[in-house]
Amino acid sequence: MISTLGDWGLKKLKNFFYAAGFMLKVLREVTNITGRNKIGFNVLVMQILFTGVNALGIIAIFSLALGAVIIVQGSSILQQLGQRDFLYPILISVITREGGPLLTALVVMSRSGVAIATELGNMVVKHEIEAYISVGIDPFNYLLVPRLLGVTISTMLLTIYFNLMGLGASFIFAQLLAPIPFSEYFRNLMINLSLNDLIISLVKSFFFGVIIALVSSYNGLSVQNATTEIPVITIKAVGQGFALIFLFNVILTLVRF
Amino acid sequence: MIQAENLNFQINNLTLLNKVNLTIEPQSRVAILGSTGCGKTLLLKILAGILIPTSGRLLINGKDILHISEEENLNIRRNLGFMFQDSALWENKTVFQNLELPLRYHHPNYSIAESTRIIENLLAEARISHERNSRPAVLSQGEARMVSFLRSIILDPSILFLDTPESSLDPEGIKYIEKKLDFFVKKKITLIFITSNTEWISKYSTHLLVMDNGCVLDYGPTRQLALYASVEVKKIINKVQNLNQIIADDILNLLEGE
Repeated sequence: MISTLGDWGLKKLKNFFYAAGFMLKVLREVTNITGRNKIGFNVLVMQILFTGVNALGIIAIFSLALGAVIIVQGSSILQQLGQRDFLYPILISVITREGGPLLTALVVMSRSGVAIATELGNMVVKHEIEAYISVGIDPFNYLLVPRLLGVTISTMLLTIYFNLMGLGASFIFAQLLAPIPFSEYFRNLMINLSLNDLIISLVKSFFFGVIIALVSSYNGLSVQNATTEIPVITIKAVGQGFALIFLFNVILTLVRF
Repeated sequence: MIQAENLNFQINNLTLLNKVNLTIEPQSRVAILGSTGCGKTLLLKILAGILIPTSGRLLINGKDILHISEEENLNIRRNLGFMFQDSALWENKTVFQNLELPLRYHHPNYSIAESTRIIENLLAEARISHERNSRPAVLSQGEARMVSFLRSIILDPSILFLDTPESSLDPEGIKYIEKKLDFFVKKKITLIFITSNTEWISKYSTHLLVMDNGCVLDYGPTRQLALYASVEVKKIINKVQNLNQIIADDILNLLEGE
């Protein structure tokens, strides 16, 4: 029993150090993105297109829904309490500081994280990674770094987009319940919005982007030789990704306060 | 020159390659023989530096390829070509792009027109120009194998690794590869190949490497091995249909000629 536990612990420890080494290597290779004929540049552009541009629709739906819910629920509850002015700090807190980065990261993990893990897993099974090595192209440099940069940049930009759409949607829904002039709404938002809120939102989205790219790449490349491993590894990547995103969200929120 | 020193490869405590020691001299042409699953492909990939051995050293042109700088690695890679048993084409790229990527990566000074000309010439020679813009998924197995072969030779390598190049190819394709192999023999490049084509073994190999169960049973000049190998090695050589006969005929012809 103790021996089994020990073996399990050692295996987990070994896996942890292996994963840490993998992640450090990817991060170290980031500095080489501009090297060797910039062949990774196309992969980067495609990744931003898939993760960022193609996700604009789904992010818009999420942000509109969140903005609407805050206005509908917030207006009714705060009006009963006679604290309608608190709606603006709540909007900033829920959309900009928490909801924006978190929901964007969950969408990116569900779309791009899954896609990256599946694609890399398939490439391993079909020996495409070995083919890159055979022609002297470093898979870390060509496949992983553009994905890391593409996902991180896209997550940050999508978070800004989410914030704008969410705050915009809350204004539109506010018009339906208790119309207020745009200038007043905008002024109240600006009074409650600090530079710190924007920075924490971007810092969170930066870390979430890095987590999504590294976790999905690592899991995708951990496929050994069968296509049946790919769905298992994808589910694992999503689980790990979500857990790490929530964990980092709590840590960064605690650091912020 | 390729030097393997005590190469081992293990997965989950299972030894797939055991204490491989060999030296492949420049310009030699080595045919790897052995029954299915004995580790031929694995050894080929390790000798090409694609897979990392669990232990041991691999030196290519005197350099330990596991401990060299990125620039040295590129210089070595530029001179290696590898044709995979299962083609291993990049599925998200067209046939043209599969050939273009290594060329662009290693020869950044080539203009687009120049690299296009090189690729189109190769595709025309191999009679697959019509598949230029196709993705690997729509290619027949033979066409995919041919693209894989073209990718292995596009950088004009001085060491070429071929894993069963003849499989899935039609007679035209086999004839094309033979033509290229004849050219490489004249060019005196190092050739390491796995094949079940006995004529090719007899025609192209200068050395035989006989494997069994992850071990190298014997390695030496083709004629010497065919004649003087141990019973165990001969048993494996005999599994390759007609090889003895072809080599014997070859030796007889040689003696008659002399």
